[in-house]
Parts: sequence; structure tokens; C-alpha cells
Amino acid sequence: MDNILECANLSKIYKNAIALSGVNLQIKKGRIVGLLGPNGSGKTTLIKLANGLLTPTMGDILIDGKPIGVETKKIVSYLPDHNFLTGWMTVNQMIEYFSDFYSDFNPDRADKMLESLGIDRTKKIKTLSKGTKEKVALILVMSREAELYLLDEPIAGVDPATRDYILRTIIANYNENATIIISTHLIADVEQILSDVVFINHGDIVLCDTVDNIRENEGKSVDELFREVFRC
Amino acid sequence: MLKKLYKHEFHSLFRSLLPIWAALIGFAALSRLTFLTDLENDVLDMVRGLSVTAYIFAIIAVFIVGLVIVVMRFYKNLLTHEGYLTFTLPFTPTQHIVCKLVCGAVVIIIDFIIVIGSLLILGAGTEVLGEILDAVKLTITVLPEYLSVGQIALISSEIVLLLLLAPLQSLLMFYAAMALGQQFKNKVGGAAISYICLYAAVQIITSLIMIPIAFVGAGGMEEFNNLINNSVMYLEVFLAFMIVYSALLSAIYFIITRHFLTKKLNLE
Amino acid sequence: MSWSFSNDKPIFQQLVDIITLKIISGEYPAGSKLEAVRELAVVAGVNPNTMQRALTQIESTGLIFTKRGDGRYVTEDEEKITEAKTDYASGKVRLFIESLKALGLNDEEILKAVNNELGR
Repeated sequence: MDNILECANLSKIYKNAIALSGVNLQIKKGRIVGLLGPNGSGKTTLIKLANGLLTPTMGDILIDGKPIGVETKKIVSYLPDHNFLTGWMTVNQMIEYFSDFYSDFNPDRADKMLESLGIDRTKKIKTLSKGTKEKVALILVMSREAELYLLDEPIAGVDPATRDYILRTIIANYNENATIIISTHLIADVEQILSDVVFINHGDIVLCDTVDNIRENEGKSVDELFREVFRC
Repeated sequence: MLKKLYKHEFHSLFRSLLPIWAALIGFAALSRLTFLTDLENDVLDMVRGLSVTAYIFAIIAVFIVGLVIVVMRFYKNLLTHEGYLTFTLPFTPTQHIVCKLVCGAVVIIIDFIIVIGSLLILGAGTEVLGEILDAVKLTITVLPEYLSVGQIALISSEIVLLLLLAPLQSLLMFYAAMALGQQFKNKVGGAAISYICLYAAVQIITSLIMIPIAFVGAGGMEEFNNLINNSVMYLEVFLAFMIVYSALLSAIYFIITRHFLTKKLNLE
Repeated sequence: MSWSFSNDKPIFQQLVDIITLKIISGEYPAGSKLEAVRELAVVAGVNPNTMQRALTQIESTGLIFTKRGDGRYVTEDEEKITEAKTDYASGKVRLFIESLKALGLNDEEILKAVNNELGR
């Protein structure tokens, strides 16, 4: 089994809008994949379907060959596009929560990152600034030794220094057999850590290739190609 | 691992409930203290009045706030932004529903125990408490004259079963309404409308079923000589029916909740 | 800070160029040990797979070599480094001459200009 994520004819239709229309996609193990598209293109819908937070209208989605369920949730580490931590818990309690439920959670890793960022672990989540909350969320998610990381807009709305820290954290914690899928519309910032890119627009996969191929064949960066493909 | 799910559920519920329970016990104890003396004193009267009022409000708070906390916990933890974490934990939606249900029912049962406990504190050493105890003793001694041991055992276990089913049924009705409401654009409004519809439907169906049963009961009453025997039998059957009915409704609510959280989950 | 990359070439090729340059310039001295792939990737701010690919490519030129179970080292063979330096210089000079020729300068004019600059 080479593919960590497989979608076959995957569709999601909301009451009055098509979010995904017949997506076919295979993502291999051991890659860092950029899921790129403008706002409202279907990125978040695809990631939520992979987490079982939405149910497909049609088609199939498999993770490590299995339908979404307890077994896939054990190996998927998910960073939603907005705060998902419990406000009344302290950072320490949040860590305990993660290590109670995810057997792949590595507390040492979380300790190191919290320390290097100087985050007060006794503080309640709701008292932290927006930026610190995002950092804590990323630390929790990246402290798991998961097989698939699904990061939804991890760098949107953070300052350049934090963006750098986040990308560094992602590279430093990822192991060769794991796959990371990063959804974003800020391509220039992530391009150099990606091995593959998937362009998505209006719920359709427009392009799916390696970054090296794009640069070699097109003679331009993914960012430039993106601007061309999605020119308004 | 499932144990940890219950651990965190209880932790989250008790966090908000313990202060209310403590307040209830505290006001009961304070009220009891103010009754220790017969001194006529304006200040004492005022303290007595205030603490008894506070106690009464605390009883209401324990039941209402207790229920609100349990219902809100389900909503917040599963259907708002917290649901992103809850539903990505390695558990099935069914496990989440059962966990919330069991913990919620335990909270409601503790509510009752705490209220009874506070009443005992309030009545400790007073004549009222003694009279109540006497009445209970009397009932226990007199009952066997009218009912056989088997009848007592059956009826009391039926009552216990009904009392245990009641919190499950009412919680599951809230859960089903919230699971249905999640399908609407406005989740809270959708849940409220779903609750009202469920409530109305159950009321209508219950009335339709209860009317013939009431007639059967009335028929039994005509035979005045056998009143006791018949009504005991009637009570036994009626309670059994109530248990089955309550269990059936609970099961339907559970299936609705499970269906919408498993097959139709839409966290937007 | 991450290394900077241009838009027109694959990142792994740019990594090859940057690391080769660091060896030629002595920033990575002959015989010294290189950081592990992941650390290098973090420093450069690139995908570890890409860094791996770049290092393998440089390895095939002999500028770096792997000691079994002990990571990668810069070659101790000074001659190889000099060779790489010469290659790099000729490459740069070739590009430079091409660009001047495109402007219409002939060999003599170019040579004169170079000598002038060097003589200063």
C-alpha cells in the first residue's frame, strides 16, 4: 500500500453549493503535499471529509486503505483552520488530554517546543493570545508521531517570524514515512518545503504534480504557475 | 482508553457542578444553624430568611443549572468548534453519545442525592425529620398486610427502573433534538424547533395510547370488591407498560442521535 | 534564516549549487562532517526529501562521501575541491562572456575590460 490518502469520485454537495465534484486523488506516503487553491475552492471540505467531520455526498475516501473511522483517526493528526482547543483547560491539561487519547503522542517533543517558545503551561487556553493559541495547537498536532498530518491553513494570519517557526517545526518533526498535507493560499511561503502540489478550484483537482517537475518543465515557480492558473 | 473518555467527561461536568452542590449543602447547613436558637432577634431573623431563600434557590439551581450544564456540554463538545477535536479522537460517535448519556444521567442522579442529603441536614435533629422517618417505618410495616412480598418486590423494582429511565429518556430527547438541529443553518434554533416538534409528537402519541389504557383501568374500578387486587395488578401492568414505553422512546431518540452524528455529521 | 531560492530552477538543483559553493568557499572545510539531512533541511528551510536528493547528487560528483553509520563528510581530497572550484569559475565566466557578447563586445574588448578590472 503506497497511498496514504485516496479519493475516488469524491463529492460533497451542500444545500445550495457544490464543494467537491468527483475528486479523484492519490497521495503517496512520505511526502509533503501542498493543497493549494483560492478561498472557497474546496480545500477545507476535503480535509474535513478526511477527518470524518463531514460525510461525503458521493464517492469514497480512504486513509491507508481504510474507510474513515476509529482506525484512521488513530493515525491522522489534524490542525483545523480555526481554534479547536478547550478554553477552560490549561496548556498542561490539553497535553494530558492529547496523551490520554493518542498513543502516538510524544510529550517530550511538546515539552521541548513549549519551552523553546517560552509558553506558560499553567495558563488557561482562553487567556492566551490568538497567536499563542495557534502555536499551542500546532505543537500539540506536531507532537504526535502520526502517519498523516492534515494542516488546514497553518500559516494564515501569522507574522513572518512565526511562519518561519511553524515551517521549521513541520520539517523538524516529520519523519520519512509520514505524509503532511498543508492547505494554504500563501504558496510562496511554503513552496520550498513541499514535494508535491495539488491545485484545487471550484471543487475540482486542476493539477497534481511534484514541485521539481513543475519548475523543470514550466521553468517557473509553483507560486507563478498558481497565479497563472487562477488568474482572475 | 474508553475509561479516559469518561474521566474527562466527568471532570468537565464536575468542574461546573461542584460549586453548585457545595453551595446547596452550605446553605442547608447555614439555615440549620440559624434554627438552633429560639432567640428573637432582627438580625438573626434576617440571616435566617436570607439563608432559607438562598437554599430554595440553590435547590432550583441544582436541577435547572445541572440539566443545562449536561445539555450544553453535549452541544458544545460535539457540535461547536470543540467537536473538531472530539470527533477526531479515536472513538465512534456511538461511544461519544453513550459516554455523554451515562455521565449526564449520573449527574442528574447525584443532583437528587445531594438535594435529599441537604434536606436531611436541614431537618437533622428536628421533629419533622422524625415524623417522616416514622411514616416511612409505618409504611414498611403496614405494606405487607395489603401486598405480597412478590408484589412489593415487583412494584418497587419497577419504580426504580422507571426512575433510572426517566433521566435517560429526557436527556436523549435533548440529544436527538440537537443532532437534528445540527442539520439546520442555525443550529441552536434548529435544535429548539426539533425539540418542540419531538415534544408535541410524543405528547400526541402518548395521549392516543393512554386514553384506551385509562378506560381499561376505569373498567377495573367497577368491581369494587376486588378493588385492591385489581388495582395492584393494574399498577404492575401499568408500570411495566411505562417502562417499555420509556425504553422505546429512549431507543428511538438514541437511534436518531446516532444516525445524525454518524451518517449526517456536518461540522461547518 | 532560510536560504533563498530563485523561481526558475528546481529547488534540489539550487541546493546542489549552494552546498557546492559552501564547500568551494571553505565554509564547509575539507574533511569536515556535514549536519544530518533533517538539520540541514531545517536550516535551509526545505523539504528533507529534497535535501536528501541534493546531497545524493553532490555525492555522485565525489565532493562529499558517506561513512557507514556516521553521516556525510566533505571530501578530504583537496584536488577534487580545486577541480570543482575551476568548474564553477569556468561556468560563471562562460555565462559572463556570453552576456557581454550578446551586447556586441568582441573577445579583445572583453579581455581588456577584465584585465583593467583585475589590474586595479
